[in-house]
Amino acid sequence: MATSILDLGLERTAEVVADSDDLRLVEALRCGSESAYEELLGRFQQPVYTLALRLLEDSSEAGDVVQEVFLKVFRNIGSFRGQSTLKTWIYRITVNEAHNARRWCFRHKRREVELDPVSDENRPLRDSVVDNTQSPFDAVCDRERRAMLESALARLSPIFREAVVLRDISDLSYEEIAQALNVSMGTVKSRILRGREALRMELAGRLEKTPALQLVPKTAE
Amino acid sequence: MSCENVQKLISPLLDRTLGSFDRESVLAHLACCDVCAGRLQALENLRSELRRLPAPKLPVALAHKLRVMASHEHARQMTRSTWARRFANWNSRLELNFNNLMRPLALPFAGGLLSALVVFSLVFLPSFGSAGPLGSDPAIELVTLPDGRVQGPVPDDTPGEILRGPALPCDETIVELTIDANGMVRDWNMIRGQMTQDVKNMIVYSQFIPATYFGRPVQSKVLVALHPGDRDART
Repeated sequence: MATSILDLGLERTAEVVADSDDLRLVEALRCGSESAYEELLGRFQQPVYTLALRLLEDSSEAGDVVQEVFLKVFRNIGSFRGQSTLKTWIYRITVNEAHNARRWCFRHKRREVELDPVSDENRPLRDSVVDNTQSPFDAVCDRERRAMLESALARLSPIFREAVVLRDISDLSYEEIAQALNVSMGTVKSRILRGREALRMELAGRLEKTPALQLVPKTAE
Repeated sequence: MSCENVQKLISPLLDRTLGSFDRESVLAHLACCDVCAGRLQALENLRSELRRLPAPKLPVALAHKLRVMASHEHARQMTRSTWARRFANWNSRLELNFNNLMRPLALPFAGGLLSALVVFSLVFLPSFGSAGPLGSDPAIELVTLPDGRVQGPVPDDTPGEILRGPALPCDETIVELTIDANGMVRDWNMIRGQMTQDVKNMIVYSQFIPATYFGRPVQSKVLVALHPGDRDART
């Protein structure tokens, strides 16, 4: 849940250099510690996959990108100089790989036709069953709202989408986004602003909370 | 501050990157402008919706692939850590490649070599050397000398022997016999000594094997020495 913007004195102080934990992990990776490989995967495999999927909107492409990212991380960990956080460095590799994958898809896959589209109805029953904490109506509303949001995000220009995803989903600071995208702070602010505006216009009037369906008992007349 | 300027600052305001002065100004404007306040509310809703998006679960297959890849990379890094390990790795790879190259050839090569050895031994070895004849054929030599048994009139009496070498004994009677192709004595010639009854008996009763030339019996000559002994027939 978003915190109130009226809280004063909570200016974010982003770390733009690697902290001691990052440096310890990097040093362990350089020394060939097996547990360091485990730790790196444990810390970053899920965020990297999430970021790749949000940038590409294709799970198979995102999986390939994640593998490429970690291959590059493992092989180039020696060149990490600690001038940014490990997370920022890995996210930067992810953004670049997603960009490459998007260009490859644009060249090779735009004329492909999916013969067997996967729809929500084909999902396993276990995934589609609504839990007890939410009414079916709310679950459907949430799911539609989520699909609407993801669809709008997918239609967003890749440049703006990268900035918005890194800020609002991956929760990176402006400085970290600037490092990850290799652009200036002003460019980051501009891209985030324009990306949010584009999303707001795309979803204008469709994201308001729908009141939950309530059944009001009435006596028969 | 105009609405246009405020709307440009709403996004930094949400991210708390505005300076204190701008922040105060924007908040003051928002308090009295419904349009800009609505814009702020919309962006705040949008941001909260984006943050509420569930993180897609990492596929299990992908997690396994990543672990396998990490294991491979770890092994790769370990083999490159020192020069000794690098050399050991190169050596093992060279050995592996050599084995992979040679093993498919080993069986055909060994089979071919053994087959060749067997065939050559069957074909060529019998014709070399003096191995036994094939089948039941008798041995055929180019030239054989006459042989036989010098015999007196009484069975088991051996008055003399056939001389094989060029040297002649000095105190014995020596007879040169001409043996025909049937092993019979055709003629004789006294080399040393005199013709006695014992010599005549020896000539009559002795049996000879004729000499052969390329397997054919032919006439030949043989020297026979009569031993001097307790018999009176010494010549």
